[in-house]
Amino acid sequence: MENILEVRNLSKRFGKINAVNSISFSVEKGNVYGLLGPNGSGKSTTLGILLSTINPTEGSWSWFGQNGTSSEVLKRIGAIIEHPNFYTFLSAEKNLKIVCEIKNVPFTRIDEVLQLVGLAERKKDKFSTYSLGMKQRLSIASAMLSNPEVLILDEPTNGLDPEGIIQIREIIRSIAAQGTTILLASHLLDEVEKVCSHVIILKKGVSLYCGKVSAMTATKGYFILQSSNLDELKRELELMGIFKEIKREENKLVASIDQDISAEDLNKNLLNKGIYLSHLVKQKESLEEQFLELVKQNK
Amino acid sequence: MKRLIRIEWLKNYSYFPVILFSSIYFGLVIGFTLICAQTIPIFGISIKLLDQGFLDFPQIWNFLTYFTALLKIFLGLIVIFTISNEFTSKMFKQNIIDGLSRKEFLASKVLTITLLSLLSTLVIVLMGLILGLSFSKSTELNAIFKESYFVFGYFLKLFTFLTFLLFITVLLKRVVFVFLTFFVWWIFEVILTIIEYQSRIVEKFDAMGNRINVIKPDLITDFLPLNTMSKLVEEPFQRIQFVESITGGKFTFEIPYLAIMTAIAYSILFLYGTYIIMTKRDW
Repeated sequence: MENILEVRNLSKRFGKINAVNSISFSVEKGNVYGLLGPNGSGKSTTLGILLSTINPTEGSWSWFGQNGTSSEVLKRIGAIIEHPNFYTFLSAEKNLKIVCEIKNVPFTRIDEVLQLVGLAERKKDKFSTYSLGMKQRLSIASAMLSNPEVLILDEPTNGLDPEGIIQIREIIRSIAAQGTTILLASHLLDEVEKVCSHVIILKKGVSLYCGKVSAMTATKGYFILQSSNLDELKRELELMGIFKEIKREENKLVASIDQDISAEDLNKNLLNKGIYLSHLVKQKESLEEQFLELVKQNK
Repeated sequence: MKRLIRIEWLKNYSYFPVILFSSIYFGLVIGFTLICAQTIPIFGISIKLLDQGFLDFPQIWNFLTYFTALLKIFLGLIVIFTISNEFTSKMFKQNIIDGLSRKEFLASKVLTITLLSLLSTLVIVLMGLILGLSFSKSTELNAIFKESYFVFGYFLKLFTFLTFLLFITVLLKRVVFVFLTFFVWWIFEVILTIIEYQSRIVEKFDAMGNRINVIKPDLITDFLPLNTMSKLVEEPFQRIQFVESITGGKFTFEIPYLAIMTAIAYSILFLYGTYIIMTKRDW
């Protein structure tokens, strides 16, 4: 897989504060990455450095194999940071014309991207008359003008109402479906889980993990089981010796898997022992559980 | 370059402060030159500028450029408001992220400043030609072009002034701080100049105790930025017929080479400083 971005030992100090502390990660072409971390974990600072607006204290990075961030590289990247920034006294169309001139893109792209985010009818209106959701969608339109190879989004749904959040999410999904690499910074686990295939986890400026969401923790998931005789069920499960831990939660058993087994095989085994299940579910830990697990481990 | 001008045009042509201050500025400049042919009262004495030789070639250039340069603060306001808006609304950061390099951003602003100064100079040249050709005693080519330095001096004065404002606006970002700093700096230069003048002036007296001569030394404070700018186009009162008849002296014009060099050096320094701030700061 081709690496679009490679970050090596990046650090940024603001006075005494280590905003970013020697983080390294790489971004492969075509994947959707979540840059995950609580507020103040260094997400925006990292993106600022990678977009050349913040000078790093140490470290290096390369976009498309070229060191650093030149303005030519930036033309191949679409980025949305924090709040949507536009000239408030200009219409959406005029604002996008300026971006077209900066990125050397023909004006014909303007209608196409406005169509993509559903703002074509409002293009003549001043930016200051837009709602927050519309402003955010206009930012995405602006970032998409140059058909970027990478799209960087910093908290794109911050402050939006549920409808706005869904709209933005739909737009991100449709962009990802075209094969555009996306780097999405967020503190909303749920959001990252819904759209991302890979995650980079930051905490207090340190990167804890970089890779597939599914490979984040070593656990293979767990079973939730229910039967008329839970004690007998628990004994049989322990005898099988393929579970790390079997916990009783109210009238259910939760068994963490050590050696993988399919739900079908487990059901067959228990049936042979004369145990009839009334409930059987095999589950993976949610991103939230995995995230908390990881943060706990690295305390 | 065309691309940068197009970007600047799109950004500015419908920005309210730009429309407001440019109409005030060019309105005042043209209005001012048009009333020049009229009688205006100065200190209670009505002086008809026409009769005083102000509208004669070649001194009309000195006269026009000196007075219209007093209005340059309106051009300055255009620069302060547009640049400040780029930074307070985070558009500088957005432009950089969109792929405009810092050098291109600075170049686009220098182009705007150059075009504003050129446009203003062009208006002055046109007004000077119109007034001079209608009222001047002499309309020989030699007289018309003899002091055309003032046209260049005027342009350089505006350009240096606007780069100075560009620098402090990028440094301080907010319009209010820029105003305060500018006025404090202005007063600071005036005070320094007065102090130096008072302490270094040499006066000669005759036996009766009457002052017979004043020797004005070359002042170091003349090298301060605002003083340098005013040296580029000196005040024209010393050459007015009214004053010449009192002092009995005859005015001779010299090109202020030193002030030209200093002004160019300041412009370069301000632009370089602006670039350094843009690169070193975190946005």
